[in-house]
Amino acid sequence: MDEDAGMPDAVRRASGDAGARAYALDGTGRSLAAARSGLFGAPGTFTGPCADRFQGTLDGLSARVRAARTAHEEIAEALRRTVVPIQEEQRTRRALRQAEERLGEAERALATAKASGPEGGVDAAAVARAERDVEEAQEEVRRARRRHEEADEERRRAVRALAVACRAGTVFGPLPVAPGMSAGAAGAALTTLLGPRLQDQHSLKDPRSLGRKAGGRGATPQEIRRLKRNGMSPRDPMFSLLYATLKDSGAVRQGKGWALGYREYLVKAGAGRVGNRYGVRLDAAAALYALKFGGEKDLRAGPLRGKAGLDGRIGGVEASTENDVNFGKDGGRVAAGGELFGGARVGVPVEAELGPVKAIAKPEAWAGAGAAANLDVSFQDGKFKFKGAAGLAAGLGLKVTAGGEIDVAELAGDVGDGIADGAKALKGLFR
Amino acid sequence: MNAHLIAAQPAVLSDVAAVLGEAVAGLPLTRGAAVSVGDGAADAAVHEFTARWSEHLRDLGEVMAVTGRQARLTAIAFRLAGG
Repeated sequence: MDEDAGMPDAVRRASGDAGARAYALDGTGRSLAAARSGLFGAPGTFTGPCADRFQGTLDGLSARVRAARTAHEEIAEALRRTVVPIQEEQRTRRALRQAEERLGEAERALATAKASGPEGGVDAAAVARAERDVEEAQEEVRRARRRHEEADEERRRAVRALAVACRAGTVFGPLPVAPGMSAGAAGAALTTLLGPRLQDQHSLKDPRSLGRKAGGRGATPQEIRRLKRNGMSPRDPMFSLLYATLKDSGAVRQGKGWALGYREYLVKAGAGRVGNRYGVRLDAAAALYALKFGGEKDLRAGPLRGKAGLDGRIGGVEASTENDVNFGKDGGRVAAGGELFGGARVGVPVEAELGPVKAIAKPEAWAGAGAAANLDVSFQDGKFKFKGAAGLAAGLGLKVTAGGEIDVAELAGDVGDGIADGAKALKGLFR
Repeated sequence: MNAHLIAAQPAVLSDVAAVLGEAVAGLPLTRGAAVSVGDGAADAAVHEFTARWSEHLRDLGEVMAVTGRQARLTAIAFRLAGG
């Protein structure tokens, strides 16, 4: 029995717990939205400086609860994504152990066959059989070892992604202030993370660490232990991440798949280190539409999985830009582009996935005026992703988005298995 | 702000206080059992995430509770002012 046999179930339970927390936070967010609309929903219900203070606090609380829900959803998903790789690694480890045991048995049988035969002599046929068994067992061990190495690498990748998601998910904005408690509570959610996690807290508490030198010299043993626990080194730079995010969305009236008087804005900027990457990012978007509607449906046909949807935005304007450059040991991303549009647009996003390859496309019909150009290329968690978009309208126009995703690790694994199976078949022909 | 508006607000503010009370009660403050994915750094990151968010949610709950109390007191003040 493996020591970590219960791990996948425990991780699945933890994922469920995080999902349940996200669900509970969704309920809290709805309660806050109800409180806010009760106060400010109808025109003139509650106005004046006192109302502004309540509104500021309720808006701040809503934003923090929404951020909490998103963070918990992402961690639930990241935890869930580690379950299958962990199970697969355990399965291939067991298979490797069994193959090694079979090899041991075959080697013992060969030794026995060589040592004794009928009436004291050596049975050449039995020895040849035993030698063939040993060869097959050795081949099986090699195959099992390769599969286990691949599964182990996949597991490490999923676990690293979980750690990165956890670190990125603990970036908090400022805490809202209750009305009348303190002035100046509102403002952009600007968060600065200094140094590797916990090290900043420690350096605040312990003035000795102010004497730290570059390259990690001067770190106390306690600091080094803390860094190691967080998968970091004292050589990691003190400046870790400067990150700011400001976003909100809402509608005058909305239901499932539609919104009247829809509005949203988002500003996200960062510079420094996120996970194992260093880079700079600036995303900004604003949209205002009289009507927004859409939906999507999952499709499945044999091994082919896909999605098809509808995305419509009528009577409004929007502008957006997305720029990101980051690189690290495990990959990188380059994205640049922007869009400016006013009018009405209807798009049909479609997505198809076959094994390790995924393709996406979204043709859109535009009525109005606008232009768009985007390019996004990245390699992350063993997946190569690329997406491009171009659109133009003066009166009537069109925008086309197309892209794809290739799971390089999975594809290489499939190709490797295919070659191994082919070699086995070929070997069988000459036997 | 006129007298009519002031007179109309106490009930709304009391409702807000009640809703905020529900929101505080609905916050998931209990922490789940520690989980391991077989990697020290990832385990520490998950633990850190849970611990920090629990602390942050507790702080948010306190702000909600204080805001609810303020709404209740404001309702009383408006009732007195509005007659």
